[in-house]
Amino acid sequence: MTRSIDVSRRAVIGAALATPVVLRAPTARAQASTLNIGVVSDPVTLDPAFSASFFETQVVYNLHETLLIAHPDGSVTPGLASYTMADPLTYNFTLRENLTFHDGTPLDAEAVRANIERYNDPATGSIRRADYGPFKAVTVTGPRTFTITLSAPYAPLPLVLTNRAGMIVSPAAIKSLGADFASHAVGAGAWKLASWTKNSELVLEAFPGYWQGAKQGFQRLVFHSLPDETARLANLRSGTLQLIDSVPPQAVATLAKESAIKVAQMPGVGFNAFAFNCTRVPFADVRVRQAFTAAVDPSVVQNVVYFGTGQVSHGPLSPAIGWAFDKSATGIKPDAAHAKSLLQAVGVTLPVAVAITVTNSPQMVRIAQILQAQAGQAGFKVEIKQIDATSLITVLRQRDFDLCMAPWSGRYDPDGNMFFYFTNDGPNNFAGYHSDIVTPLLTQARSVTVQSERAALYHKAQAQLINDAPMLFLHFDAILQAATAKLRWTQYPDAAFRLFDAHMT
Amino acid sequence: MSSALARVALRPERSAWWRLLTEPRSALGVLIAVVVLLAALFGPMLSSYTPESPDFLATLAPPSGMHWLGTDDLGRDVLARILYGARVSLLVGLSSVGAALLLGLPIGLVSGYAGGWTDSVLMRCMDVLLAFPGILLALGITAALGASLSNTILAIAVVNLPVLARVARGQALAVRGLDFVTAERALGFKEATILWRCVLPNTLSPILVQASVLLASSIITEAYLSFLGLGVQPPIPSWGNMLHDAVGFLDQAAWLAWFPGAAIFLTVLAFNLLGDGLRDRLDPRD
Repeated sequence: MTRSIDVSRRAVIGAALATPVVLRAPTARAQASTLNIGVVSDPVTLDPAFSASFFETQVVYNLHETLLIAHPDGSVTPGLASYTMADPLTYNFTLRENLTFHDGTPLDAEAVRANIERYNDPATGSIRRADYGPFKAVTVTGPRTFTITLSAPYAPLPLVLTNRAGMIVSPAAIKSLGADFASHAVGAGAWKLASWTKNSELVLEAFPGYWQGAKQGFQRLVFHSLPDETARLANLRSGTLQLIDSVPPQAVATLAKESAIKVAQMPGVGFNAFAFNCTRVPFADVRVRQAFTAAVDPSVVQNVVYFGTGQVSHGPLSPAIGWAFDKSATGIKPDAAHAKSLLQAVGVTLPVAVAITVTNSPQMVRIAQILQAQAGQAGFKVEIKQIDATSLITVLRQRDFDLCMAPWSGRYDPDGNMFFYFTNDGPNNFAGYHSDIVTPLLTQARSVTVQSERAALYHKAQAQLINDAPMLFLHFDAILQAATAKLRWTQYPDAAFRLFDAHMT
Repeated sequence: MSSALARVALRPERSAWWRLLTEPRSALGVLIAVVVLLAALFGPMLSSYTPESPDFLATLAPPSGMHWLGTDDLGRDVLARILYGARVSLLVGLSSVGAALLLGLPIGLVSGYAGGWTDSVLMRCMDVLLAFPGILLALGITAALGASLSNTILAIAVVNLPVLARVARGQALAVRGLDFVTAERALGFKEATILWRCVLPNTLSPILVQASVLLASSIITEAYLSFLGLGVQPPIPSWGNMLHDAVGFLDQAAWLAWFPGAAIFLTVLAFNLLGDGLRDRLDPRD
């Protein structure tokens, strides 16, 4: 009697011990083909025509495909199409063969024409219209060939087509989904949208019809929206996530000592700056803006917030765009006493009450506190307002701020860092800045084709911006992302994830 | 004989209060509470640093002779912030409990004393509030009204209100059937006068005990809210928002979390022990 009970107990214990091993194997196989990615925030829209949020760049390049492809060094190669420039006003494109969208409809010259016309149609209200600059027309010249004609030379065009303006989406889906397209986008990227639970999980599944072949390293990409940087990092360390965006700068040194995690760091093409609201008191007065700028010492931000990563910034041209960077550019010299005298000279009653609006990211809140302390010494009384990441773009567009963070992920072409922000009608001109010097300079710079001439024009424009101070430039953030050491992937200087070549070793 | 009896009758009263100070657990509670109170009242004046002034050249400094508890990520002295945070914690705790008392006590007394429809309506309202877990209710209120010191006090007061109202009601129910209340009514006193002069003084003991326990939970709730970013806003230091800032630096500067955490722990422990001691002292068994 006793023996049979012992045997059965042993059998139960044995089975119990064996079960986890048996269960783990299929889970491990499934996990190898899924990449869990931690991002700062959910996208606002998946429609490239309206995508303006800093936080969409992680998802959209995997879901959608661009006409041309940019590499981390800024070079351009064919994507969906290749091109030749017949003359500075005419670009001829040839699409690859047998291209389809996620819904199976063909990606042909007609589909591309529909997309480009949609971006440029004023009725659509797409912000990509500004990307296309002096666009005149797109004509279909064959089933797979089309031509873009411009009304003026536009040097940034190829690089523009490597960004969201070059993303081609399914016209059939646009028609059938209407406004729902924003949450159910259909494109031609390496992955298609499987599901999206807002503010939780966005799942992409491999698209077998992708033009580079079904050679994705991962069958599924799962984007987890985790605004808390400590939570993202903790999830990476525990193995729940294999790739994360926005590593806190203070963690970089500690992570270097952990063998299971690899931090990827490179100079970014974007800038971290704040927009002054130039359309209302007190920052409508350039002298008040200059006073505020003179009170702020960006090197303190570099040390205290960024722990030495990245670089101090005085203007929008990032050192990552080597040929356009102006080494000699210096901003208004930080001097609290001088700032105070500037403010007193204006004649406003001190202290001047202003509000700084930031998202609740710890780095941005710290920056706001530094600005608060430094501007406080110059006669400003600063209040800090915190908002969540998805509200930022609305606050900026409605100009519901005195001073608001306005970071830019950056473009490979300096035009992309300046034209949208500083021309009188630029779509990112949140500051409401109006200049009859800068607008013509930037307009000219995009039609000139000789690089050194363009650089000179951009330097002039930047010098004027430093003087007019429509934005408070602080820092060129280094792109700080981290992954499990076993993951091989390519980092890009605009912080976007393009994961086709990513795979586990 | 009668004078000897009178002396014996007097003694238990004195020894009960004395027990509060000599019984180890409640004595500890009193001691820590007094230290916290003194720190809150006088501490900030004794520190040579102000809690809100940054020193960008001395960020994340470990405890040293210059800064006894180190500095935080903006170079602010941690000790000064802990001392100032004591003020914030006590202010929020005492105000929210006080406000809940001011409103909850009358609601509970009237409800218990009057009975009938008044009781039903008032207590159903209190039930609605009690149905929510306290932290969630406080979170919801501050999220809706916006994060600030005054909204934090309001939110926690709303959470405390039904608890005190129910205790007051229970006491009123117990007292209203007693003979001396009937006697007063027979003598022609108005109901309001009876409530104020007779019922209220006899309900104070359990209310006091409940209030001290609520003080502890209010301090914790404020720490929760500030930790989540919905309570006291920077740059006003609160132990909760100090913890919030410390979380990003646990690898580099763990002391930023230890000190506010210890402060919260000790303060809440003190008020809980105090509440226990008061309950023991006021136990009707004596």
